[in-house]
Formats: sequence, structure tokens, C-alpha cells
Amino acid sequence: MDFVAHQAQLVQARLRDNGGFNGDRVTDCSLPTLYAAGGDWLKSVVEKSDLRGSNFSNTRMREMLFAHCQLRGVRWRESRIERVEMYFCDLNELDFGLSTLRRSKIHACEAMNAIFSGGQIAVTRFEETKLARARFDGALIMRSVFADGRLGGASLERADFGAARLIDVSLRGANLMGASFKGATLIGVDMTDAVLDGADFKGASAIGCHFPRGFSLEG
Amino acid sequence: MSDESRPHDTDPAAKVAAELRARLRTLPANELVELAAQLTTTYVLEGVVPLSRANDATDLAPDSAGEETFAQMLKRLKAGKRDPLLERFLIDGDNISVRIDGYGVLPLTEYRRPNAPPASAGVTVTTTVRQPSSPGAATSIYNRSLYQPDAPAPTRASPQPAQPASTPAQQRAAATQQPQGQPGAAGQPKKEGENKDRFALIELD
Repeated sequence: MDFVAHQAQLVQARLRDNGGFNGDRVTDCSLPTLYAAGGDWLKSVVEKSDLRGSNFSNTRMREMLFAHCQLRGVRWRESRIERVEMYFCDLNELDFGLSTLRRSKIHACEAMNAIFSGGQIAVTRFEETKLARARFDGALIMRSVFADGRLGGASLERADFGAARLIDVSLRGANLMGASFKGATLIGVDMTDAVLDGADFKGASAIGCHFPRGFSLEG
Repeated sequence: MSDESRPHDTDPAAKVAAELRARLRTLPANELVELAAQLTTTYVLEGVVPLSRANDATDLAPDSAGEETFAQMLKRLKAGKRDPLLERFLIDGDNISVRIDGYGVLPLTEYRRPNAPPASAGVTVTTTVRQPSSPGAATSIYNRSLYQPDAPAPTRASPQPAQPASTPAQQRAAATQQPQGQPGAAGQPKKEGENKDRFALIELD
């Protein structure tokens, strides 16, 4: 079913009745502080909609597309996200703690100060997404790519990877100025040409990683 | 553990393995379980190629082989198997070339047919009106339309919905019926009778 502009109340009714979306399309709807916790969303499209401050905790989302959405400060904790694509969304201050993100793509979004603490991120691509001061502490990140097509490296300055486990992750050319990797486990992480000025690797362990030329963990 | 029994082993792989063991031993049990589950799901069950072996392709791994194009499949095979034969294929987007000794690099997809299936015959007829390219062509003695009656133009300006195709006999009938109301059409023979119609039909053919 398609919901447009003034049908925000119908969207809420749909969520209430079905517990989620399935094959639906929500366009141009203003739904700030929407409560949709515990739902199951499948194969739906949400675009150009305002969902800031909403609560999607404990939801299960598969094969979803969010495009040009306002998702600032959305509470998305302990959710299971699979094959979800987000384009040009405002994800600043998103709370994605303890959630699972798998086979997903986050493209040209802003996720500054976003929280991915304790989450599990696998086979996921962050592209042209601003992740300055984002928190990945305690997260398990596997086979994922942080890239920026225009500037050459991902924007991750002052990001927090404390006690995180990064396995087979590409941070090639990323801007990691002032980032924290305290106590992190880095296995097969590619940091070639990354900017690591002021990055903190205290207690971190790097096995089979590629660092910028002239950089050493001991130094 | 054989590696632990040889602390002074100079083999780099053994050193890496030893470091890995030492680090994993420090992780709490629940984190180890998470790690093992993710590793197994990603690399064993889903068969995702590690980034280091995916060459420059940093896109997400395809969900299923059935959705791949031929170029993507070749790319995946090249990344997965270091086969000298596959290395001869060069893939640039959807374009595939092959390197042959003595012939250089030959494109394979230059004359590739479009992916869309061809439209079935007789379902949709799309024709355009062709204007005479020069004013002389309209009045040329070789312009057959000057010698034909004012029959409906054989070309249509816009795409038509599916219609049963008219047989040549029906077209001839339409062409011969119309001039009856226009006896003085240009180039029309003025004789009347069956013989004249017969000759007109021959001429149309």
C-alpha cells in the first residue's frame, strides 16, 4: 500500500494493526516521534519522510529502503537489520546500540555522534557517510567497508572504537584523527593511507593489519 | 598446541597464529561465541569472499549467484580462484575483454545484444511518418504514391495497440474501394471496367 503526505495517520494505523510494513511505500509523511518498537518491517520503502526521534527498538527490518529521510535521534536499539539500504538520510545521534546490521548499505548519510556501541555489523558498507564522533565501542565489525568516494577516505574523526573487534574491515584512507582504539582487537584491518594523527591505540592488538607507511602501534 | 611449544619459532605465520591465540584468550566467552558465530555465518554459510581477496571490488557481496551478470560472475570467480586462465579476462563494469597472446586485448562484449528481450512480432506496431528528404522527391516520377489512389497512408504516426494484422488482400480491397468516390484523382486512369481494376491491382503489387 502507498501512503503519501497527509496519510500519516493511516501509517500509524497500519503499524498498529499489522505490527510493521510489508511491501508498503511511505512517501512525504511527517511522523516525528513515531513509536514502532518491536515491529517487523519487510520489503518496504520509506522516503522523504520525517521520523526524527522515533522509536524502532527491537524491530526486525529486512530488505528495506530509507531514502532522504529525517532519522535524527532515532532509537534503534537491539534491532535486527538485514539488507537495508539508507540513502541521503539524516542519522545524526542515531542510537543503534546492541543492534545487528547485516548486508546493509549506508550511503551519503550523516551519522555524526551516532551510537553503534555493542552492535554487530557485518557485510556492510558505509559510503560517503559522515561518522565523526560516532561510537563503535564494544562493537563487532566484520567484513565491512568504510569508504568515501569523493574525498578518498571515510570521515571518522574522533570516532570511538574502544574495545571493539574489527575483523576484515577496510578503513583505507579514512580520516581517523583523534579516534580511539583503546583495547580494540584489529584483525585484517586495512588502514592504508589513513590519517591516524592523535589516534589512541592503547591496549589495542593488531594482527595482520595494514597501517600507513611509517606508523607503528608501539610508537 | 604445537605452536606454543615452540616459542622461538621464526615462521611468520606461526607468530601470527600465536598472537591470535593469545588475543582471543583474553576475550570473554560471550564475545568469543559472537565472533565465532559471525565468522561462520559470513565466511562459511554465506560464502562471502574476504575483502583482501575481493580485489578492488569493495561492494557488498552478492546475495545469490542468480542475480549476477556474467561480468560480475567472472569477477567473483577471478577473486575466488587464482586461475591463470581467468586472469586473462579483463572486466570493466559490464565490459569484458580477453588477453590473447599475439593478439593483445580483444573486447568480448562489443557487439553484445541488449539485455531486454525482443518484442514479439505483431503485438505492437510502431511506425513513424517519413517526410520526403527533398522537395524533389515528392514530385519525382519514381514516386509510386503519385500513381496510387488516395489510399490511407501506409504509415502511422503513433504506436497502435495490438490489432490483428490486415492481410494484403484486405489492403488491396481498401485501396481499390476508395477511388470510387474520387474519379478525378491525380494519375488515376479514367477508363472504367474490370480490366482497369485488374491492372491497377497489378500495379499496386
